Amino acid sequence: MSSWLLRFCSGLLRMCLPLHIADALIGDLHEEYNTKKLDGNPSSAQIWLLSQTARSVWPFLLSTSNTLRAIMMLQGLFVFTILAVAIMYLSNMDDASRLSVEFWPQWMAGKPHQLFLEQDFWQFAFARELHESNIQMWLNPLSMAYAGLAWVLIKRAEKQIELSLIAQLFLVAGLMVLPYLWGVLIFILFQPEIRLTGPIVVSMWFPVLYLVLPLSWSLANIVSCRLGLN
Amino acid sequence: MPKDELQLGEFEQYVLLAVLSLGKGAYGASIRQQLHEAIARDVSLGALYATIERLEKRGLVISNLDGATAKRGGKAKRMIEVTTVGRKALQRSRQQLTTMWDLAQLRSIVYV
Repeated sequence: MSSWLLRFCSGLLRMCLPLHIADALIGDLHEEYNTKKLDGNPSSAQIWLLSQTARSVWPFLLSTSNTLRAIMMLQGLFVFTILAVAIMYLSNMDDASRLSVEFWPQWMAGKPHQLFLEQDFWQFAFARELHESNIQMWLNPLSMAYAGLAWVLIKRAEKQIELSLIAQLFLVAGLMVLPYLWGVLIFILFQPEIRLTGPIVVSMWFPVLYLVLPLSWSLANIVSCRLGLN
Repeated sequence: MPKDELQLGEFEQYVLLAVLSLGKGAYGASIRQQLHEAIARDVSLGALYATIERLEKRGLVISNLDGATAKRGGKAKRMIEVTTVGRKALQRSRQQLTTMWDLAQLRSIVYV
């Protein structure tokens, strides 16, 4: 029991703590636990071990860099979820009159994001459309290629070019927004028929959908690293 | 070094003083034990190591690995030493506290 408990606590600490701290801390934990076990009641030593492990994990889980990661990932997750629901909502929409009369002219002007101001979207999208989805709907080769290219570019810039933090943030934001601006430009220049607008909106939204989560994680790491947070 | 770098929190002062009092034998478990015996503070090893990490980044302590034993599951001890900057920071904290205590006593705010 005790060796299993020690292994469990050591594993948990190794998972949550930076490696250079974990080894020494686990050593101290072993030492004090073994001393307490020899000195008195083994079960109270086990309780001490569990409580020390739980209390030791928190200061590192709640470190500035982890909090920053959590905030950035939550933001990314929020954007990802909203976009995914919007895509499902539009894909499964059978009655265009659900949306307000002001929406479609805005859509034709290259502003599909106006959907997020629509009452019907917020009231019914989550309840009505989430179950109606298939995997093919989520695979858009052009957007996947763009997202892959953008990812490679960002990783190369991170490793090979000494960009400042601000420049790096601009690069990431720019690569995310670029397909959107491209789509808006197509709407303005070519004024496509409404039946042809779907693929354009797909090319505006899908790259963001593919990129937002990995980029949020990557950005959080870059910011933590550059600001020297622990 | 900027003066702000020498500002110490209460727990940081306790840790630095414990390390100084332990001399060459200061490492996580012994510092924890010292704090428990001297001022009855039951700190977690995690909180202690987070503080040591912060102090080391500010150049107030240095550490090196030493003394792996079977009792420690084969893990090395992280031995801690207070640097000259750390000693200066402690001196400064002590002076600041003494000044404030003197002021409080002069104005009869605190009766000790």
